[in-house]
Amino acid sequence: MVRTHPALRLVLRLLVVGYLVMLVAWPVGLVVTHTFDHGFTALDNAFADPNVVHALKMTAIVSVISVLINLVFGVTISILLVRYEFWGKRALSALIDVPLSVSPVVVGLSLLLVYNPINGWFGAGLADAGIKIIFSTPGMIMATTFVALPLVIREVVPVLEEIGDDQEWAARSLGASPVQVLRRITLPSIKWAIVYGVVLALARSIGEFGAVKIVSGNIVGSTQTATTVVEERYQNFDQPTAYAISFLLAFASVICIVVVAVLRPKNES
Amino acid sequence: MSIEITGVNKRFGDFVALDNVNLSIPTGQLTALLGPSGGGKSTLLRIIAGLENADSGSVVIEGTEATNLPAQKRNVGFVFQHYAAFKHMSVAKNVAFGLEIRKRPKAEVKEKVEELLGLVHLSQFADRLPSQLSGGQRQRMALARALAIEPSVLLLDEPFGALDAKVRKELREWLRRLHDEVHVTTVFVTHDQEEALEVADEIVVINEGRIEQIGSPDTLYDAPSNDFVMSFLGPTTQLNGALVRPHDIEVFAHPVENGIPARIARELRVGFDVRLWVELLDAAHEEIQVTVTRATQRSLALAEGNDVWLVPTSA
Ligand SMILES: Nc1ncnc2c1ncn2[C@@H]1O[C@H](COP(=O)(O)OP(=O)(O)OP(=O)(O)O)[C@@H](O)[C@H]1O
Ligand SMILES: [Mg+2]
Repeated sequence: MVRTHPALRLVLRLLVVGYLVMLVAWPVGLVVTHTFDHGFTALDNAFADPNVVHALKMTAIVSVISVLINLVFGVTISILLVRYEFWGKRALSALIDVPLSVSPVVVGLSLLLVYNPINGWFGAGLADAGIKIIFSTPGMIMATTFVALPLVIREVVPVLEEIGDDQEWAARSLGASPVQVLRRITLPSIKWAIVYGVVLALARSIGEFGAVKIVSGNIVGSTQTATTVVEERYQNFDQPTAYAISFLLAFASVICIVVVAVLRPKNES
Repeated sequence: MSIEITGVNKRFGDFVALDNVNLSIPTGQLTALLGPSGGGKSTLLRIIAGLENADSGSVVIEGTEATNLPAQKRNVGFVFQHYAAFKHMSVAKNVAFGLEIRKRPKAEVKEKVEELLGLVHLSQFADRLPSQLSGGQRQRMALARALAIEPSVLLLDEPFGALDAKVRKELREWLRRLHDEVHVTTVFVTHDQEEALEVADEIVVINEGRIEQIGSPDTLYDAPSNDFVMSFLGPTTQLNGALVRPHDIEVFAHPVENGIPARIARELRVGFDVRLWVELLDAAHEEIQVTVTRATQRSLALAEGNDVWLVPTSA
């Protein structure tokens, strides 16, 4: 630890606290106070509106399914990347970060180009087969999955690298098959990384806006989600409902963080 | 013979890690693979265990052709330098792992684990996690875990390499005693010649992917087949163009027949040994090293600046 002057430390502390208050605490706090300006009426009204309830359901369905997909693929890709050598590994590893660097709007547009039923590469054929991707749930799940793709991988890969493969080889030499090694050694050792990755992916999926808005077509009562309904209501001067749903979104994130804090074992840093 | 290795080659890219290695390891003995860093010791051990595949050649363990057998079917116990403890399992669970994989009855597993933990003196730590053990304790746990499956051979890759000097010494004496009790064919890798000489029944010296010599500790020490083995197994010095050990040179304080005249340049006492740097009084004035005991130094009153006569005693 570098020794710092007490005055400098105080200034640094004020700076950090000020930064967090101005950017996070105050704005989010305002959302909360606006939500409860008139007690629970805003929330009650929001829950009485079938379109809002439907949008919340859509968000829940789309996020849960895309998190499950990212869980399975994220863990598989992480193990492939860390434990196996194969052609194109570096390219794959670079590609994984694309969803973090590309704007979700671009993701939405590119999915639209590939899957739209009129002139999309796949879309036309799929439409003939009666499968609808764009302006319906599958497209929204794809967009959300894409956007949250790196989160599980980014949590799991460093842990896999750190634990190394000695434990896995030790288990092999003790008679365990590759599947037994995966179940008894690898997965338990990356359990917490997976939990953090899933919580982050869930939070990201619930909050996704841009990609989903383009792909879903934002059809009220059908493909609208919690985030897109906030925008629609806000622009249509139904601010109480917009605040109420925003509050719910923020509340979901806080729950995610609390769940992680409670689950996390004490002796793990 | 317990392990037969025939014509094993292994390359990593262009680098030749093992170059046509042939080796027979006798049953029930403690064999050391000794050699400098990067010589290919771990690679050979990993090939025996099936953790690595040879490019060519064959491995036969206890009469079973094992070259293409996956690691889990070889019934080989492997102990890693950095323990490879299963961090999320208790000590008892670690030791039980191989037995549970083999679906042995619960009571039998429990009994066997208790017996092994007793053997490695860890009975009171059965319920701890590996992170709550010291390095030496973790390595004893790893050993118990490897022994639990009653392996046909036990392979240890620098098992004490990560431990401090005192614990290392204790553990290797303990390993020797354990081996005398359990009698499983054991191969351990080390780059510490003292460790190999002290513990092993037989030593295999490996350098740059090739076997330099195989033999008992005495054979290797007294009759090294080349200069590499000689200099790797202990201190050496150059006398009359030949490598000799510094303590295989007798020192006289008066002229003797065939004695090589020299003068003591420096002396250094290390415990009971006294190291002398002596300057040969011939044309080249070379400085060589001679080791005598403290008793010899005292009885001959050897001191810096004295003239002495040297006679190589060995060979
Ligand atoms: N997976 C690998 N990829 C590339 N080169 C390797 C690999 N494993 C080992 N080598 C090389 O093969 C050579 C022999 O390695 P090995 O680990 O067998 O040496 P060692 O005798 O065990 O040395 P040490 O005493 O340092 O452990 C080394 O030069 C090493 O760099
Ligand atoms: Mg090694």
